[in-house]
Amino acid sequence: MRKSGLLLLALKFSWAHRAKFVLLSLLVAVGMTVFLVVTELSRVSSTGLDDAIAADVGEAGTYAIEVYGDLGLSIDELAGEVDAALQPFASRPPLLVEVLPLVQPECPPYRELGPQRILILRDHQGDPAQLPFGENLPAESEFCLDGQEIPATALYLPTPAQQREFGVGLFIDSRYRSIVRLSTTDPTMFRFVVVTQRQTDDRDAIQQAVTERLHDHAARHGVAGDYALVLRVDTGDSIRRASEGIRVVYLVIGWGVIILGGLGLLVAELIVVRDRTWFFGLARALGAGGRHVATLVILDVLLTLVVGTGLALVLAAVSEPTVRSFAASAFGVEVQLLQPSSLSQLVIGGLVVLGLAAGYPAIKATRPDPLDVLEPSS
Amino acid sequence: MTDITAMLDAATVRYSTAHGSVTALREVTVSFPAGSASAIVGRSGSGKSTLISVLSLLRRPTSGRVLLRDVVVSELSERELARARASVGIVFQSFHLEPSLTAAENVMLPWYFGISAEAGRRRMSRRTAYRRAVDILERLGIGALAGRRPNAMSGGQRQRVAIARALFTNPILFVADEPTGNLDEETANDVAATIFGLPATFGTTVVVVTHDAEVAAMADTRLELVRGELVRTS
Repeated sequence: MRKSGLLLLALKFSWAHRAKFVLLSLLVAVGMTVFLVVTELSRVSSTGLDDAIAADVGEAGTYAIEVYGDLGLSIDELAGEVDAALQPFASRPPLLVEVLPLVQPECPPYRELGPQRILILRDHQGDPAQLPFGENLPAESEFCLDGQEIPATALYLPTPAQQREFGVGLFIDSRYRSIVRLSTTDPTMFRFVVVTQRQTDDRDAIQQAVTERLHDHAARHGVAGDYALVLRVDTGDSIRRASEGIRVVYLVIGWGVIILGGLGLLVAELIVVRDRTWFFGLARALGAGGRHVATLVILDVLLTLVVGTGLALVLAAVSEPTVRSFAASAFGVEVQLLQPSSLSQLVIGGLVVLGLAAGYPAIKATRPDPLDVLEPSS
Repeated sequence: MTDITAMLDAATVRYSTAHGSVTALREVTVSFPAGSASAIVGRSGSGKSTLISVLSLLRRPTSGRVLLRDVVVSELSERELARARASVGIVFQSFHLEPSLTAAENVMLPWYFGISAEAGRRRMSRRTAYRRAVDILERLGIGALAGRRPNAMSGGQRQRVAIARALFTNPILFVADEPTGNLDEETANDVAATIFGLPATFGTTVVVVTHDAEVAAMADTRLELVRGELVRTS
């Protein structure tokens, strides 16, 4: 099939009806720009907004599993057992916080703070994890235990969000663990933090999995009763639902605009097909196949879409500063209208419009019998 | 058989209407020799237009066969039949010219759709197609109108453009259904003369349906249809 000839013909028809073509292209441009804006707002509401919520109230599906005592296992062994129990739930490897007993610092300013719970962060295998030690502390802080000074560069004061996740206390470099242990004989608690990223409440399932996994060790170690407790750390279900609601609203608006635009083009194209019925009949009489006629109709819509989408890209570039400012002030998020993900959404939106606006008219254009549309029956 | 361009062999066409079945053609057998010019006459409803629609491959006979040269085209698939239509140039009573295209562009309309009657449907450049369209218009005496749009032409000029379009694919058969029906007498005679001169100028076999006796008189052969039956040949 000679598509270049049909494209040329579609261009000639568009040029012949310039006013209609320009108006429809503007319709597409406005629709596509709105689609681009709300799609981007939807994206940032589901990522940027969720990130902000996670920072404030914790990542969705964050659980703390508190194991009281080592159950006769080394840290590595305990971490391995709990890690195995959490495998079905974890979206990423869990973290382990070794919660050492309360200790009383012996030099200022911590003497005034009273007893401190000392924390050591470890990975899912029980190995010490890196923290920005030395940050969040006054420059000349001193921390003394058992007559020895622990430098500020070995300490880290967790942020409020980290405290919610890991527990309240002071992180210490694992190299100083023995000094803390010398200060107290109380048992250690192990706090595993796992993130499922699911909104559903998995507390019971996680509790059962951990309890079953540790049961034999606890029994051998002579521990009875509750040796592990699962807590849900994250909060803010309602704000997450609200965020999800906003995202859905944006999606509905975006795709609603696309569908409305598609229906608008569909009506316009049906009028074109009605007015050109004789022409399509003539083409068939001359020897054109149904696919030639259908292609011509599709190209007619495609030209409008291509020009309209091009205009939309220009409009998006022009309106980007305003949209950025709005998003920053309203949601505290940064939007970027012209980026690969938005452009791919635009292509998908364009294909939906093309299908909506050209599908039925293309079929309709191939249906009439040339004899019926070219000559009245005698 | 090769000196026959087109042939109807016991062709019957029946329609279903709200009032029952209507037989438009009854076992019509007729052949059109290569280079001949024939006129089909008859009263309204006699089956003239049906005969033309069968010859132009726009309608299949209910029974019987249609042959173009040696090919039984009435038995071709829809796609093959559409392709075979390029071998038949057709002109209607209404000119059916696209107002947004110039005369030459209207003539080369088959090129836009990639239609060609020539073997292998070899591609023709747009420039070549345009030259061919202008050449045909010149041979029909309206080459000067190549760049003009239909709404700036007279009825006779428009019908000549329609004739040129029908000739663009170099068809072996040219059929016209009341081609002078919308024209005044003088213009009608000019257009009829052009059409009946096509065998000499373009080597095409011509079949014209007309109710105009003066036009029919210009043909080599006149066929009369009465209630779907071929009753007389002169």
